Amino acid sequence: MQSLLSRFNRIFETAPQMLLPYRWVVLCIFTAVTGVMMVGMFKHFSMDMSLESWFQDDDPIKLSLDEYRDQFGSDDSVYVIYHPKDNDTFSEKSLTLIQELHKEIDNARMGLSESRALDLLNRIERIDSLYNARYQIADGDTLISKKLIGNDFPKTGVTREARRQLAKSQESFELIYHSKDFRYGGIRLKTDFGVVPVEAQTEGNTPLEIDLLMDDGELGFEGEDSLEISLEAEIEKTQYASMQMDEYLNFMTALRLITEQPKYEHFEFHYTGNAPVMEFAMNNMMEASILLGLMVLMVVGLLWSLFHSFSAVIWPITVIAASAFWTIGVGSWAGITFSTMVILTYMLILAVGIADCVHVLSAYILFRGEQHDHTSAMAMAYRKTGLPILLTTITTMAGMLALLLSDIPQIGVFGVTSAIGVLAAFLLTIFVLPVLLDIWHPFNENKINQSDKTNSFNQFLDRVLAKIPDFSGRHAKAIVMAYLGFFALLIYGASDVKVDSNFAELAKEGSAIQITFDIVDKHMMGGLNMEILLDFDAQDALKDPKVLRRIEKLQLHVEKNYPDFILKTFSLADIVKDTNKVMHQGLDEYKRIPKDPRLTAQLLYLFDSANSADRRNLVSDDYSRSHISLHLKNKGTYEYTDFFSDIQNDVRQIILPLDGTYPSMKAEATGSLTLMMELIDHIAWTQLKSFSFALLIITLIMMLTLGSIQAGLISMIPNLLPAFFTFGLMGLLDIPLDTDTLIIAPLIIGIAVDDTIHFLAHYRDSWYETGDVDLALKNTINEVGRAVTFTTLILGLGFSVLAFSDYLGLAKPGIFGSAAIFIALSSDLFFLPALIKWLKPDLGRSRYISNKRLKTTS
Amino acid sequence: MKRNSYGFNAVIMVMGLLFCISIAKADDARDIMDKVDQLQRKTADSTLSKARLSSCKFGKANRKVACVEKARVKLMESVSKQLGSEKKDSHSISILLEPASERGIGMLTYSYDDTSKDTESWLYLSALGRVKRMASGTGEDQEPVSLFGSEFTTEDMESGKMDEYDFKILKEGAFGEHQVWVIEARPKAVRLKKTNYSKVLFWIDKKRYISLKVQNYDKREKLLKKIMFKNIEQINGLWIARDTTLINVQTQRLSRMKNLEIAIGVDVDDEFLTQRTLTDFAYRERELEKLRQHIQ
Repeated sequence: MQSLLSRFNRIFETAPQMLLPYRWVVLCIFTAVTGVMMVGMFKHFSMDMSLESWFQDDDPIKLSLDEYRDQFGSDDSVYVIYHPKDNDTFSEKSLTLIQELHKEIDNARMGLSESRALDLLNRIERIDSLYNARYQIADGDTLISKKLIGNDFPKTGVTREARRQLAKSQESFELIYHSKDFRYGGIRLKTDFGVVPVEAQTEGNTPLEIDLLMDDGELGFEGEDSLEISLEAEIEKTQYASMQMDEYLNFMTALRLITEQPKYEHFEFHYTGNAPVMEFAMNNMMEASILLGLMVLMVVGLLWSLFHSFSAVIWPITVIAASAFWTIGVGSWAGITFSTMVILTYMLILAVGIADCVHVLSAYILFRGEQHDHTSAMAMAYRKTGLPILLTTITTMAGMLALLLSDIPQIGVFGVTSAIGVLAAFLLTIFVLPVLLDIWHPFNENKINQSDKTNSFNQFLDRVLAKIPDFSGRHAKAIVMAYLGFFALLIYGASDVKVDSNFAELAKEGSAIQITFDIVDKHMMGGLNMEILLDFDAQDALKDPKVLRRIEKLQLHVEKNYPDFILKTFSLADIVKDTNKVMHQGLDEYKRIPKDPRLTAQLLYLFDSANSADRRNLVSDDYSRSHISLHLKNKGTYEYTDFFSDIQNDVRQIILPLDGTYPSMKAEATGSLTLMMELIDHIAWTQLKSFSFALLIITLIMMLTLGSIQAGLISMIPNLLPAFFTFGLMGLLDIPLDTDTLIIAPLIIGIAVDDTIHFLAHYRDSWYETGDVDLALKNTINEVGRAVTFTTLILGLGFSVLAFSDYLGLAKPGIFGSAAIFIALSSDLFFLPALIKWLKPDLGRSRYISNKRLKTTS
Repeated sequence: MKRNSYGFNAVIMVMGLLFCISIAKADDARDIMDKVDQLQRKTADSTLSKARLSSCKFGKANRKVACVEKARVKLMESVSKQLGSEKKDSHSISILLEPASERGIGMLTYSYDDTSKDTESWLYLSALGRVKRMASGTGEDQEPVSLFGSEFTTEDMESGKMDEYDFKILKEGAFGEHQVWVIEARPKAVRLKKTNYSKVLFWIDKKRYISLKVQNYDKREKLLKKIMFKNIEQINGLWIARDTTLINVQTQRLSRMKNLEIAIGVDVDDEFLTQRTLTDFAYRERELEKLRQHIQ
């Protein structure tokens, strides 16, 4: 192994000299490959930003979501809450304006609006507001079912008050169309998001239009008297087009064009649903790209201030940019569909690329400063840094490829593309950077000497670094004990960390999205929903009073027992109860499920004869399947864990006893909350699995390259410390660990491992050479101290830019990632030297020496 | 310059000619549809029918549509009569015979061609033994609703309201064994708010002035429903389809209305089309029995 490593050192040492005669060939190849990759990127790049892309095609969750959509239509509505300035949704002004707004959106959805920018609102299938909410009341022997406002606008205060009382009498209106105190109102926009068949999106008009006179003769039962079931008939499985994030963004932009007109300034609008959340995320992605730009600027600034050379700025940026083009290019040519996680891939490439280049540049400048000429300084720099760079490349690639263990397609793609990115950065650092440095190198004797003299930071850094070996030598045990104590505290903290994702907490306090969630929870129907799917596998089961009474019992039970979570429940039982009441002159005592199955069936006849799309939202045609909707307050998934299992238990106890009559019945929970909980649980386990595997691989590589099990284990503490620091601190400060932070964890480990490898690889070389721990440590810190500090400063400060994001999913990784990077530096500079000083690991030196002796004697 | 002006005039003339042709065609289309509507109205005048309405989710076997689940069947007996000077208003009554749980449910409807006049309807639930007048608003406030829970909506069964559409002949030629006009009906602004469709295509038999096929398109102009008319028979000199199937291509559900028994031009007493028929079983049966004598 050792001889293999020495051979690598020699290869890296001679590589620049071998390449230089062919510099133009190298440059041509580099330019050509980059060009090809850029073409691939611009021609074939595709991105899927839908929620469904997080699930595999055959994932039961995705299948059940599709089944739900097949049966009950889109579950993806936009809910607009409005707050009138006069605090009364029934004031003349509020009702007039809501009528106008309703009609304006309605016209836009039908394409009747003059502005083509509003055409995107044709995704709205139905608008429900106080304007068209249909009430049902009994007036003697007349059953009145009319729109609350409709054509009959209440012009006087008395008539408006009468309408308010009418609205009050309709239980289904409260929290949906108005708040309890009438200060807030709601407009529900039912959309076709997620239920547009794929072919409808791709094809224009149907082929039938092309040949109108062709008789398709598709009726298979002509002449037969009744419709028989055909066992051979196959249902054409409808493939629904996934919703892309920009579709949500464009939809919201069009909607805001209407609501943000000055004439509606009487209202303060808030939006909930997937579309506004995605709009928020998209806007944040744009903000993130600005922040990433700032991060690059900061990196440029730091590179300049640390090296005082334009070539030391331009070449690393060239390597990083080209690595990114190569990565996305390879992926695009290979037909990979990217996700929003591509931003993390960019960040990783930036981190790894910077680390690779800064180590080479630092070493080069160090050796030039030691009076070596350009060629030998290059050879020595690559001899010293080539192997550690290879090792960091292998470990980071292994860490990223471990993500392939995930069964979440997006995470797998992220793993593979990031591994490609790391490899690209390595290849370019080893094969292209020497050529670039040969053309234009950063060392100018006079300038460097002068700048080093004037650069007080570099002088300060050198002074501090010079003191470290001595300091950690003298206080080795104390430092080690302090770090181990800190490590133990972090492990304790990490054991207490809760994995929790909360939509509202994606944004900073006081942001529009948080205010909206707050209002919708306090005044309206809540920001989350849960559906209990009921499948009795028997025609007309849902007309059976026994079944309806069980459903009612479950609703009453959950409303009573979980008032902190549930705001409102709704089911077919409510329809039957309300209809029974209005058919009995509106008497409250009849607001119940009748015992007579014939009457129940006849009450449902009315519902059957209404809008069939509305009916199908609630119950299947044959009344075998339905769902109970629970409108929930927005809380994190952590808080919902117990609630979730309690509800499942209640369903088992209250609904499932019906299996005596309906043996093959099923009842299960689904809906946005369930989806989110499943996804988060999935991501947490996936990441844990990938982490463990990555750590195992990294430890094995470290053991092999450092020549001893002991050394491999030693290296793991500084490797683990930064990741545990993030999780531990979150646990200690009671900050929930969300999916975004979980996903960024491999990045933190990758960066931490990099510094440790550079440190230990240099130390091993020096230790083999000198056999003196103190001297080896001194040499190591002298050689790599500046480089690891520089990379830490660049990446740590670069990451900290993200902390300014409004989106906490980006800000949190920014803050914790940046802190972890600095922790990694401190453990490499203080803990590792102290531990080495204390344990004095041999790292296979004795075997190396005896082998060397044997060779010399022979 | 002169040549240019001559060219310009020629273009104007050609365009004018095309415009005239299209006007003529549009007029033809409206005339055809008026005639179809008029004949359709006659078939509903003083008519007794017994129909079976079956609905199911469908699939395809050998490119033919077939049910993949047990069809839900409703059997009903209806009597209708056209009224008014132009016979554009109608009174009708429908009584459900099947399924057993819904047996005896009755619906009495008075509808008027005048859009400002409310459609009046009364519902009788036999399990409750009570008649309820249904008030559901007028004009825009009324929405198309499902017919007995099937894929047919009240809009699919509607006649009249010809002024609310623009008609255009799209094509002429042989459709199967029949020569047809394919006519497109696009709702005018007044209709657009009330309809679920962006356009409707009619395949009109040139000889018999009856629809052989109808296609409805949703608001995004995608095909939504196909309605096929089969078993067309001449009864009392009027052509009538005894088998109507509606295929909803988007929900993949179909409904088939099969006219089992029909009598046209029977003498329906005005008294029969009142609330009494809903509640008085003996009276209803007595009167129906008289009408059933005319079934062909």
